[in-house]
Amino acid sequence: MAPQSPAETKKLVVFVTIVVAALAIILSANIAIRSRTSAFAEGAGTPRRAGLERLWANPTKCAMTMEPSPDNERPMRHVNAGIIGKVDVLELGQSDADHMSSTFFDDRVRFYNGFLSNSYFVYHYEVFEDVVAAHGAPALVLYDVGSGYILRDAMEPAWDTPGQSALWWGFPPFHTGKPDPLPWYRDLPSLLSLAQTQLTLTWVEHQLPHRTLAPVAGDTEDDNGQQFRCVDVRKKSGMYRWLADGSRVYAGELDGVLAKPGAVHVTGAVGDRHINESRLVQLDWVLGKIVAAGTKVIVYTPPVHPAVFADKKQAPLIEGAEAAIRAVVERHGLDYCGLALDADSLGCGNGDFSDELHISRKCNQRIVKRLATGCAPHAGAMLKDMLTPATLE
Amino acid sequence: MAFNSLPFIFIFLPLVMAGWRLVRPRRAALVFMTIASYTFYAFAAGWYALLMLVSTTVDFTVGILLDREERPGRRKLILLLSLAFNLGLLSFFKYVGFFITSVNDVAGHTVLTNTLHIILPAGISFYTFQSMGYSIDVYRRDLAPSKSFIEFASFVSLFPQLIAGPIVRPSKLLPQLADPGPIDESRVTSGAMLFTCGLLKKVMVADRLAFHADPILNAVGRFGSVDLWLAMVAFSLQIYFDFSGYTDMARGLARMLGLELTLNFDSPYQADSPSDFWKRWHISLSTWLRDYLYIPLGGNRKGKVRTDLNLMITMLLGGLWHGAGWNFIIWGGFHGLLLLVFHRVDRAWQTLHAVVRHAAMLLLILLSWIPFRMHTLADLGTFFHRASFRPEAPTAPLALWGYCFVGIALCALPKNSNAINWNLGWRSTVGFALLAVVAILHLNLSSKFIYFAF
Repeated sequence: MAPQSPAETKKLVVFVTIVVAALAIILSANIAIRSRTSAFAEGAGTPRRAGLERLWANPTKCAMTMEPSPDNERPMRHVNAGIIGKVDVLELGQSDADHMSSTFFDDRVRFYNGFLSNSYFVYHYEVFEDVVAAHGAPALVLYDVGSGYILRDAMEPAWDTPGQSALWWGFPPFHTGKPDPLPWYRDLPSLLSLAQTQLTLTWVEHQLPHRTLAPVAGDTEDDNGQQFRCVDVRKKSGMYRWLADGSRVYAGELDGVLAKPGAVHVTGAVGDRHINESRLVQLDWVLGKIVAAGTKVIVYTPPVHPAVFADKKQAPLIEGAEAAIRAVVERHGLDYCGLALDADSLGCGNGDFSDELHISRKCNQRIVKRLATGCAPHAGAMLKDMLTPATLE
Repeated sequence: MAFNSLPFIFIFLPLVMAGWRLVRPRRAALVFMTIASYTFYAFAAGWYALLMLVSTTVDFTVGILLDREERPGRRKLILLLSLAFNLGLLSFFKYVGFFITSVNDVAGHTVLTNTLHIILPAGISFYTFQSMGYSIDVYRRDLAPSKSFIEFASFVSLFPQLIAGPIVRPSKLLPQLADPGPIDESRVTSGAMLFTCGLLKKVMVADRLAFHADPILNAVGRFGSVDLWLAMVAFSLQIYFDFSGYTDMARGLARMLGLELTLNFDSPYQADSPSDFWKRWHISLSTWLRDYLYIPLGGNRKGKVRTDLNLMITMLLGGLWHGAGWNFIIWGGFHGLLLLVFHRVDRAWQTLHAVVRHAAMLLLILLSWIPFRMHTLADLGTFFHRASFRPEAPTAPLALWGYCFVGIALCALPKNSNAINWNLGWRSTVGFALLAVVAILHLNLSSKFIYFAF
């Protein structure tokens, strides 16, 4: 028998217990939170994260400068999901939804615009999944599916498209839609790493009540060209800026009034002039996933510039795209509002378009009003309850 | 599977600890330990584990034969067979490639073609010296030969000291394996703390220093003198914390098994003379070279010239032991030269103020690490040229300065890990557990131990 030394035995037991228990806790937390932190580690980067934190610390005064592109916006959405808190209404879709604003909604409703420029449907699902993972499923999704997008060629990646596929336009951390390619037990070295633990702590910190952050150098300057700065929301800027609700302000825009309209390319709204079936397949997939999460959805096609449908060659193409979208949406028993050719009836004039697709905040307000009152029998009433009286005027 | 890996800490070590405690009788426990050690070695060296088995068999047989043989001539012949086998093995795996390259370099064209593509088996320099030391001890009748093959095999292969030492004398370890005695819980606790201390040295100091210094030392042609000297200071600290960290881990592991290994370091950067340094740095190798090479060559018993020659041969071979490269020969030669000079100026040296002696010694040690770290003579030349004539503004990260400062502060502590009583109080135990967690979280950034390459 080994001689017993009770105090030393106890110390050894305490030592081993602390080490094993601490590592077990850290490992569990890292496994649970890893999928939400990958963007912190890779694509998001510290400046972007810091910019978003400052934006959320001063949501009414600050706009964050950032160049528009999927490789900028996807990590931003990913990081933002951990910062924005519970979302009631989530906007998904292409860049033509960029002016959908929280100002349309009642104060008690948390709206977040998760649009992505030049995006695939699986990218939209990424945003949805991040929001759900961070704070649970939103009550309602407003889904902008541009008719021109459905008319444009090019393959659409699926959720299980291999990460190395060129379809992804691969850039980290989103080489693939699957955030955790390895099961945890095969990735212990990185899960039990200081870096991953720091990311977990950062994520946890983001769940705490927002605190006021000190401005950084460059925050007060208007147009020094640098991204992720907090600039005064009440001033014009030559840069694209993102607001705390996830919507975007164009260069030169102030208080929702667009700078002088850019060139309108009539054919730009009708893409390659035939319906891209692979995109409809992916739309079908995304809608199925959102519905499965228990979220109501209103799919809509935003209006294109009046000059587009004034051209008689283009209108039938757009109508065909809308019919195809409607067929997919109605398979899921969801609302669909095809507004692509409704710019006139919505009251969206030339001054509301910055080009053939991108529309002003005012025009978006009219779209929301239409969704709430005219074309969404299933979820329209719910949306209506969330809007301000001014939006419904 | 190195000590600084998750599989070792969370799978191998608990299994071996449990097996070593539970498997009885002693002979079965030794079989268990030998199998465990060979498994550990196979992870590092693959099929070369069989080579260690052959080496073990040869030296075990040599021990038995030496014990039976009384005639001096025959005994010498048997010993020579052992030495020839062990040194032949070492030479083949370690020096053939170097020999061929050197012949071709001297000739200026390809005289010999290296078609062997030999891979150096991990730990061969350590276990060969350990095994060879056994044969010499038995030949000298300083040690009774082991009668049990499994006991001897467990001595040669014992996993804590297998890959990078310390080189344990058979007279110290064999009796412990023959009669391990009961496991003392206080020693297990103390061993766990010492292991943790070694892990912290490795992952929190050595690896961090390497992370910042390697980019400079791997591209010496692109940096100025301040960066180069700073990086070399960092390397001096890195190699100490890397190797002494490994030694602490090895000694801690052995202690957890109820065994005690040889000391290998004793605050070497607090040395105040070259001979003092070699009493503190890689002690198990320097004493091995002293007892099995320097003294048999005649030591200091055959006049000044012969003493100098013996010293220089010992240090050159000591350098070559580290690796097949001119840089290691230069390193050994430099230290040999330091010892020769020091022996002549010893009295004058001792009259200097202690601070001056320590500072001068640190500078000399720093200089000696330069050829050790620069793997080619061209890099060595570039280093000295740029470190002397390129006083450019430093570009090294602030963290490198910080880690160097921490390393120097730790080296200056009055107590090293050998002198600490590792049966800590409650608070220190909890503190050490938390430090162990931090160290484990650094494992994914940890690199191989430097001495694994030797």
